[in-house]
Amino acid sequence: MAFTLEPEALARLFPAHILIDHDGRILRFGPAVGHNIPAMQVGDLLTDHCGIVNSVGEPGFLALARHSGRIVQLRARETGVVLTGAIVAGGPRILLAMHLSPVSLALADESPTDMAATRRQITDYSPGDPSVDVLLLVSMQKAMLEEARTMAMSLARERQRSDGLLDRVSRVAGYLAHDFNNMLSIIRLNAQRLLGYGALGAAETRLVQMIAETAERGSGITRSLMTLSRERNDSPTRLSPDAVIELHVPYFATCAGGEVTLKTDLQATGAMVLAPNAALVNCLINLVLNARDAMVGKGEIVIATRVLSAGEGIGPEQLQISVTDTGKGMDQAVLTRVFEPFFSTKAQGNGIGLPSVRDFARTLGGEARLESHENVGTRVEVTIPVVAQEMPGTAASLCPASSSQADAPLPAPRLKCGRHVLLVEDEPYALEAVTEMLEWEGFHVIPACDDASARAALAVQLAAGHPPDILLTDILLPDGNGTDLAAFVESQVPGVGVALMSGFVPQTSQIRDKWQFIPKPLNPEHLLSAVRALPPRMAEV
Amino acid sequence: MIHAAMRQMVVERLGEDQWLKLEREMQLGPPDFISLTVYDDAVTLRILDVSARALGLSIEEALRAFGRFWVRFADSGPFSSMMDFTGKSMADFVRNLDLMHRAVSATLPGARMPNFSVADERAEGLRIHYSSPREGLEPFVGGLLEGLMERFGLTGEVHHLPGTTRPAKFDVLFVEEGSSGGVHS
Repeated sequence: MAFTLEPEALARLFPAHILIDHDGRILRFGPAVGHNIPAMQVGDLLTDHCGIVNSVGEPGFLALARHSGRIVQLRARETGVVLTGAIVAGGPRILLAMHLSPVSLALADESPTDMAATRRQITDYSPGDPSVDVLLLVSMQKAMLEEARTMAMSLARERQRSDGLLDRVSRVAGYLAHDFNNMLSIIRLNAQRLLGYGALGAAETRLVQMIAETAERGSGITRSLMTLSRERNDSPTRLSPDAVIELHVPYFATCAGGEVTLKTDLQATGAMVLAPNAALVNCLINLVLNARDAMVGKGEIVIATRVLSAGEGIGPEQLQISVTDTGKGMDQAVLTRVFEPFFSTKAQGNGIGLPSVRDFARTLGGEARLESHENVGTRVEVTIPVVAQEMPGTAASLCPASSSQADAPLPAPRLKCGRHVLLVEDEPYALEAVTEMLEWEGFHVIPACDDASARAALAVQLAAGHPPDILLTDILLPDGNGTDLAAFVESQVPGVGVALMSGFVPQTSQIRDKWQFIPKPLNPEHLLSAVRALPPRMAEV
Repeated sequence: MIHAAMRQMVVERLGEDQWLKLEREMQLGPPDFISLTVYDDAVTLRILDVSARALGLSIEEALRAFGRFWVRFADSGPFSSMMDFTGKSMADFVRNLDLMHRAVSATLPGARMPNFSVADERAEGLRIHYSSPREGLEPFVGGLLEGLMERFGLTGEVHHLPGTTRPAKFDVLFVEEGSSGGVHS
């Protein structure tokens, strides 16, 4: 059977066809051949451009005519493109009705999806060639993977950016808390001075006590800020959630807002969990903020703890922290999505608060649950495995000196103890208050407001034969560093007692073994007991 | 992918901060912008509506602008090799769009793809037929064809021929210096 195809029709049916004569000279070729073997020209010998990959029984192109109807596979020498098709021999011409092969049958070294490199297009393939669908599907998958990679990189960059921002915010919060601590120190110390004078009437005494209590609440807030700014990369540690909550109540109350009453009902005293301190505080802040947002106007938030017995919770003994509000509650549709990342019903909500609470709990081997009733309120329960039960009070090391101590008035003046204290503090009001307090206690105080004046005062004392017994210095000084000053004083006065004060907790490498550290805001009792506890100077022994 | 492209268009025109505000207004987050996911049309229309208002455009204008942007967006990301593979000329590209969409449907069951065909091809232009299970996206297709003209280095105009019968008909008229012409209906 003979049939004739117009060149255009042939090109549509077999875009990669090659027409040769019996000498193997190229008479015509399809557009796909032109795209993929650009050096090929009419009149060239096919052998100049292609080799036969499969065997058709005999070597060489001259044998092709004898194998009409067989399948031949050619490989372009220049581009590596593989063409597969039937040999159609008739008369003086041989038609090689070829198709582009997505994968070489003989040599699988051509990536089927490297479309950019091969510069192929759909029209290079014959109509209905299943290779097109395969290539498009593989290419879609490749694009999906590429997009996933791009998205992962973009998320990583976002994470870096937000980490950087958080780090800066944390540092600024730390600096602010530090300065605020200094001011609170002054207020507390001077309130103590006023109370210590003992000449106030009942009304004035009550006012001074209010000032001291307010300063104490402020101290609690700065303490929480310092915790959050300092312990961003905190690792799990054994802690008592009750002690942590108690410590941060002033901060939670601030987060709850003025119109909302925050109460605690802590029934898990001594129960210890393994958790990162700042992460626990963050978890509670998230819950308190959520509860606050759920309330219109006045309301109540209760933070409660209790230990669930093995039967009540999941697995072993669990500690349950619950935050309950009297807000508007949620409907069922919202309730089913509350832990979904980025879901929020609030205009300014980012939808990461509750999911992060659940992540926190699950990371620690616990769980987070939420119960809500419309117009009644919401209760979120976080459970964390209990790792130990300690006697009440032993976990108090987490909390700095309690406020009750701060409110105690100064005792009556003591007899002069005769010990000389070189006191360095750049806040003049704090310097004045601490000077008076120490003098009240019988110390001889040499005040200095910075590093230079401290060194000058030291020189004077040394020349007079009265070296200081104690150096009490702030760490951050306007013209230097308290730790450097301490090292210098120690070199000049061997055996001098050293106590450092700061709103920041210094690195332990900066503090020598015998030095004391006194955190700010200063608690008068804590300060005095630390100074009194310093051993006598070696020279005196 | 539509959502990701809409976000990109608004970000390019109004900045990232403005887009983040709109995202909050729409209560959407990253999960709503994963390219190869089938989303509810209602979400897409909400994004379109909010974006159009932010850009100061009517819905129709926004769709057309978005169609033009769409080609550029697809061309610059991981789908660029698929775009190249689909065709080296505008006519080939449009002719092969259904094949490309078939691969999308196979990858994303549930995706509803349109159909395109080249009804007439002449030196001076193309007559393109478009039909879709969705309604009201003709301005988007107009913008898409404009974007394709730009992609293939062509200048000219795209006209949506009046009429309500399916398929919708578009004339793409190429303009060359010193010549004029069109496709006859």
